[in-house]
Amino acid sequence: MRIEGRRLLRALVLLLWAGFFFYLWLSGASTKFIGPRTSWVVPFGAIALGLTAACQMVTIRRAAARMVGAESSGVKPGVKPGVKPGDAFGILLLITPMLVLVAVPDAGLGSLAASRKTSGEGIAGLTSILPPEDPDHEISFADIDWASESEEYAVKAGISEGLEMDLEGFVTGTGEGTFSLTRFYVSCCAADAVPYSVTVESPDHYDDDTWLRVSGRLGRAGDEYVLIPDVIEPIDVPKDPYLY
Amino acid sequence: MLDSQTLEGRRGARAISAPVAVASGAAVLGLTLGARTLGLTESAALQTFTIIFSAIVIEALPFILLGALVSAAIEVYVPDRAFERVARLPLALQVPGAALGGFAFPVCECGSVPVARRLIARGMHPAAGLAFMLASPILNPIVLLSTYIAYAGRGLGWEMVAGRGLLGLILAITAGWAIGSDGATDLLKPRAEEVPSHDHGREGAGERRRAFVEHLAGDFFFMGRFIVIGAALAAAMQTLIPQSLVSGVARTPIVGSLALMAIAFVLSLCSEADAFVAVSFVQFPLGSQLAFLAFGPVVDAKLAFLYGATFRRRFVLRLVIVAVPVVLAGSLWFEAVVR
Repeated sequence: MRIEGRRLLRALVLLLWAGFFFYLWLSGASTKFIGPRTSWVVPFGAIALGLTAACQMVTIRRAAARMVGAESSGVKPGVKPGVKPGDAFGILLLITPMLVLVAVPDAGLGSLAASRKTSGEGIAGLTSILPPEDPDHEISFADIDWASESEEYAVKAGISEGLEMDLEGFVTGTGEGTFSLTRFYVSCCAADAVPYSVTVESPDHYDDDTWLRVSGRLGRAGDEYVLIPDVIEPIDVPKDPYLY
Repeated sequence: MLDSQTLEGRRGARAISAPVAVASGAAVLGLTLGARTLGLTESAALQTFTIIFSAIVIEALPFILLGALVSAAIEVYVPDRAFERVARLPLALQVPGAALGGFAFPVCECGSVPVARRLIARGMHPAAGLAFMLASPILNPIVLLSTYIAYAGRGLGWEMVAGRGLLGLILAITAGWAIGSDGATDLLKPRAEEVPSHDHGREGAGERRRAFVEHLAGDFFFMGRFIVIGAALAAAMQTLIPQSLVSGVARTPIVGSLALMAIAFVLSLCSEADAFVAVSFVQFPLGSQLAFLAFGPVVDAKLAFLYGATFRRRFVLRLVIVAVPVVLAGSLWFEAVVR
């Protein structure tokens, strides 16, 4: 039975992508790329790509059977089996994201990305943004940042000097007796991540991108809320590196 | 309607033999694993690029598949007479009607391109097809809902929804009319590998199912490769260019709107979530944020490649020439009304 190469390659690429989406879905690894608002694309992609791959497989069998039938009756097939250079290049392009992820296993947003992206600083000072009314809302980087900009926000969020905090983030620069602890907030995917930083008053030196858990209490340096640490400990990169 | 000769293009290229294909695949895999083993991929820039690039592709591919699904369904299951009926309507009715039709198509910009291409290829007037393509990523209910949610916290939910919907509609109709006056053959780029468009109405159920799968896979593979190139460009720009370069000069409405249009082009965000990013640009006037929300779903780095693959030369340039003044005027008007 002669199989048309282009259909076969397409089916294999669809299977690869379906497998990759299933992996992202079942392992929870999708949180590295996609936020919860759009996380539905992962199971949808896994199932839809899997079904499309299965349908493409069926057409391979039928096309091959038709080709055999046509050849046995002396008719030349309209489409020759085989992969043309243009098809091969297109298929290579489509698997490039998976190849890049294999080549760069530690891909992630760190201090370089934080220096390139627009920070969300200043929002509360310029607008009437208020803390969420959710009673389970956990105070974190953005809240502290906005509380430094707006006293109204600080009061409504319950942020004040002496508040005990426990923050996990990565280092994005050191100053005199301080360093910045940063975390990205994601709306949709890593492409829209916005960095928020909290200044930690500590003479210790940490390399950029070192992940730390800092426990302590809030203090003030001018208008800015800063974190005065009791305990600083290095941690592994969390499975879900973003906040939402 | 496009004839099969035009769309069939040339099919003369020689096929690659199986041993060459297997050897090439092995070489690519070997290079990938070699780079990883030798630690050539440990730079921070490459790690940043990879995560942004992969995130855009992972998010966009399911939408491309959804668009290809609808496109294949239109090709195989909608008879020619339906398009003939639509084509008989006056253009003054077709264009706004098609733009408003975007309200019923809940996918982002990646999915609307193959659908619009198929509609135009099947006989819809290009102006109407373009109006649909440009309106659906802005007017669809999911996008409007996400815009409301993003801005409701600032008490501006309905204002932004109304502004975005209205500006998106005006932009789609204006650009559709301005660019879509050419015939379909002057607008659409031929695709060498495409199965020619024809009425599948007389084929049996099995034959139609096979045609549906062929068109679905064809559109997915064609659009998918350009999404990959566009995502790579967007990720490279995000990795190399600090956004503060643009945002630092953005206090006035005109400069602010132009700057946020430039940022929208670079970021290449999905229109279903871009409002959550726009709301964080508080250094910019509200009208400029609206410019970001109206321009991004119509022109961005990843779309430029999709458009380049779908339409003939200069389409992107013509679209930018129409879109920038329309969005700028709309954003200034919105700023004056809402402030």
